[in-house]
Amino acid sequence: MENELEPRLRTVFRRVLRSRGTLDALPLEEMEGWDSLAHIDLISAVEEEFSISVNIQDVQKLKTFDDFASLVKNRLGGPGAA
Amino acid sequence: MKASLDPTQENYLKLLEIAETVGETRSQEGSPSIRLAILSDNAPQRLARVLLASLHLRGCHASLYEAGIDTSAQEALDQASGAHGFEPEYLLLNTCSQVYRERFYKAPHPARAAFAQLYLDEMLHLARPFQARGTRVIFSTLAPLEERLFGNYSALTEVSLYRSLLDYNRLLCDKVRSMPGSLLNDVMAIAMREGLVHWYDHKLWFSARYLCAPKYLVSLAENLAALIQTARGQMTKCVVVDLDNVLWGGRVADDGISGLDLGDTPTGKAFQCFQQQLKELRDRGVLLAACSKNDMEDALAPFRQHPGMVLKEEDFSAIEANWEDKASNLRRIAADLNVGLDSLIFVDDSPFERAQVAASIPDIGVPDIPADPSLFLSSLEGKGLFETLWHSEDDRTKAEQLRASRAHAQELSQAADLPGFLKGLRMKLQCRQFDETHLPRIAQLLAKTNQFNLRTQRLSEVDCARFMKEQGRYLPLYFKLEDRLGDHGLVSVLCAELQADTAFILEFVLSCRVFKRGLEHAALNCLVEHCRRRGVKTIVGEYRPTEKNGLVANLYQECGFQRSPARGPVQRWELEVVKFKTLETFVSEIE
Repeated sequence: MENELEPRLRTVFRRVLRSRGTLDALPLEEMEGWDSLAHIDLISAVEEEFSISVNIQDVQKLKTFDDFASLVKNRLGGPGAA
Repeated sequence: MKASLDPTQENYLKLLEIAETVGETRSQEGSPSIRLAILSDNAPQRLARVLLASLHLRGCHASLYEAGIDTSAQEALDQASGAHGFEPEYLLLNTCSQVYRERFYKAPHPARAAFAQLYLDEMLHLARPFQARGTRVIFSTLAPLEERLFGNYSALTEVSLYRSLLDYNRLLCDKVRSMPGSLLNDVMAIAMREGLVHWYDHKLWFSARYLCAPKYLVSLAENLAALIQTARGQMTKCVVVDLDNVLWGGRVADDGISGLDLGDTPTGKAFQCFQQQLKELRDRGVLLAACSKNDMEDALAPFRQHPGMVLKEEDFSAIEANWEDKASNLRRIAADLNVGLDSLIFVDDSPFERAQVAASIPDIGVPDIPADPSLFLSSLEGKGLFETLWHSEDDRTKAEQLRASRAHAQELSQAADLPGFLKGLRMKLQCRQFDETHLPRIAQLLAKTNQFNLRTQRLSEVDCARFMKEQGRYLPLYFKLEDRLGDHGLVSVLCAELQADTAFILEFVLSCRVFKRGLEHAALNCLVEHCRRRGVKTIVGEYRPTEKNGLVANLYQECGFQRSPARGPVQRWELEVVKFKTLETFVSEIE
């Protein structure tokens, strides 16, 4: 599950941002195709792809690809999942 | 009519992608184009992009003006604003329930009973400066919010937000109905279809002022695109249904009449209900046709023998039952009913038939329906296929009128002597200047007529009301026809603008039900007569070619007009009133 998670998330990012640029290790602000509207689109697309819901507290906290990845992991696996 | 896309995340992203490419292309010469301004109290950007793509998929290029969020009042009331400078044909007042809520909660309890009306008055105040310049304003209803803080009693007290929103929507609908040319964007209906719990994404409201979850922007945009398309004269005129497993369960050729599932069983009741829904459509002016792979005898047997049939043979304006491919049959039905293929929708339970038809006739609407008849209507709804801008008593008799005009065509084809036949119809034509009572039907005819339409300006009811009021400047005529076969109602509109001693024909349309009777000559005779009385020396007419109005390319020439130079594809024709020789007509009586 976890192994396929990142590629799926990557696909969502590329689709929403319509970008081929780098995803990892960058703040979202520096990603090609990112703006505040794309941020909202990313959240909805991630919710849909993984059938999870993102909290309002998380909306502003999600600042990198890795933030999204750990949020999804967390939601899917629960706290005990490694 | 094209079926709307479903509100999915996938379609949302797809439309955003399309909008990217559309935004860069310019309107091509001759391709239809509209100017739409959006005033919003919620985030307008994504809706605008998705709407641009929806319109594009419907063959309509749009220029959009998005005002900044919450700048509606400045944009509307300052004549020098960007929105006014944009000169929009359409203005969308994109309002949302969350802003209503903010304002409503600030109102003290005693002020709440009057709140809905005050809020509506503000909307009308924003609309008025645009309406004054002829812009068609699209008003939005407000979806209920989930909060019912008085429980069931919320519906009973004006102090509750829930009741106030209901009141607002009701007041708005009544108002829109009374304002010619205004359009209703029924957001409430769309939200209820999806379910409020799904519709709202509250965190996105507080984070970015999204009035609903992003994927439902697809529903909103598709709804608006279908509405605008309808306002531009494209709408469903005929629903073509398959028979076996669409009107009844089973195959009549294999199962026989007694083996059909219709009426008694749960499935049979679902088919019966679908028939009832089709009958309702027919009674509001949408023609019905059937297209079935069957022998004619088998196809007609249930209509004649099955007691459970709601629809009768005579409810159908065309029935094609044979073994040819359905696309050919649909083309024949469209030709037979004299409607464009783009105004048909085709309802068939077979994915194979649907795919084949969609592939051979791209213009036709081919909605997907499931195999389950209890879901037929639900899956057809929400696809923007049944848009209309009016309902008149005239619509109910559309199918009968069509029958009368076919009886006419039948007799005509057998008549040895055409002039003698037309005289024998004892046509009685009534020529009148526009009046209040007939404005809706006048606007309807202008919006729907594609073939006998010289300029296809799609003048709205607002324009027509102006012509009616300023009779010194305009000569707005309509024509009603009766003959021995029946009453045809209002069949033609001919409206001219007077400037000094010249009359310019703004619009000249004639219903396709009454072609080939020489009525256009009678109408022009009337116009010339009116012009003479008002001292007009020259009448100018234009022919603006479209894909569908080739029929009238030579009209002005035939009627004695002289061609005068004009640029582009538009033809300009002039007539000196003194030289006009009254045209021969077969009308027995003109009032």
